[in-house]
Amino acid sequence: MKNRTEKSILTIDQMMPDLIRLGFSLYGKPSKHEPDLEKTIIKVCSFFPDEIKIFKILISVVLELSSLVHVERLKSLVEDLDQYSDASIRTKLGLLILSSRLIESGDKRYLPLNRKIVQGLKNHSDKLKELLSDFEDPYLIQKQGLDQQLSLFGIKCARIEKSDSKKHLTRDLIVAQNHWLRFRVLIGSNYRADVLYLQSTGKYSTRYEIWKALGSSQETVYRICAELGSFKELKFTLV
Amino acid sequence: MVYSGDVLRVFSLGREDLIASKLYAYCDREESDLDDLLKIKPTIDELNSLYLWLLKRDLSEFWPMRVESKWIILLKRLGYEK
Repeated sequence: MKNRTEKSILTIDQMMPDLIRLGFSLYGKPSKHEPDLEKTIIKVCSFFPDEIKIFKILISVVLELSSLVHVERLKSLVEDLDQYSDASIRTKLGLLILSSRLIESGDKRYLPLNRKIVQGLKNHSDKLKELLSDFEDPYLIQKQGLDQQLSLFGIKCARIEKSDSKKHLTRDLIVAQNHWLRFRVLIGSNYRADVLYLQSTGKYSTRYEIWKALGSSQETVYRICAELGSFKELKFTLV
Repeated sequence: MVYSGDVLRVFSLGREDLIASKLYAYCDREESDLDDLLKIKPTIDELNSLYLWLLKRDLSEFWPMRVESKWIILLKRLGYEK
């Protein structure tokens, strides 16, 4: 049984505190609550290509965090997106470009996600062409190169690259201000780390609440909760 | 110049410099520079005085066409062209 991904009703301005907490160099104050990295990635992609500047910083931040992204969860959240809505197509297009840049950097974990998205966007070439019209410019193509993956959809547009690294904090600084990512550094980018982190916050008392928060496979989350139940004496101190 | 002392002189970008740098960025990349230009509200004379300067900013054969297409959009958005 899958949990439905919550519909994004946030504007990009409302997302700024979360983005700042995740290391984006933007004007404002960081959020007091811990941002959810995978859901934030999906939300930023849903504004593609309108918020191209933020999207480019996203590419750079995700490349910086690299192994700390839970790709399996990201794929699971993408599977819950609907097929035809404008926001869903924008999200998938953003994720297609993001995953391409990550695969090119050598992170092969993004291959299944990338293939899944290519499959999902197969019948939306016209919409993709419309969304990417600003990038179908010969000057931009000459300057930034042709995006090879998008040419599979019959679209000749310029590659969209990561922003300069000065537009975000370093990996160490981002991890230092995000406990969830610190759990992943220790345990790995997997559901076990995610369940342990959510339990450690004290905000989730049941396995159902944890499953709802993660938006992933119910079976997996329940199994991990059951396994971790034998270690109730385990306490976390977040410093 | 915003300050001139015995050992230090401080210069700052003026309005024309800001418009010029934003115009170049607006034509050179796909980011939010158009919004910035709309907020600066350059006059048609300020824009026209920078057009030739802008055309010389890149040697690409596609640059003049790029400038022209972005220029038309900018003038429309600023209400200078219907």
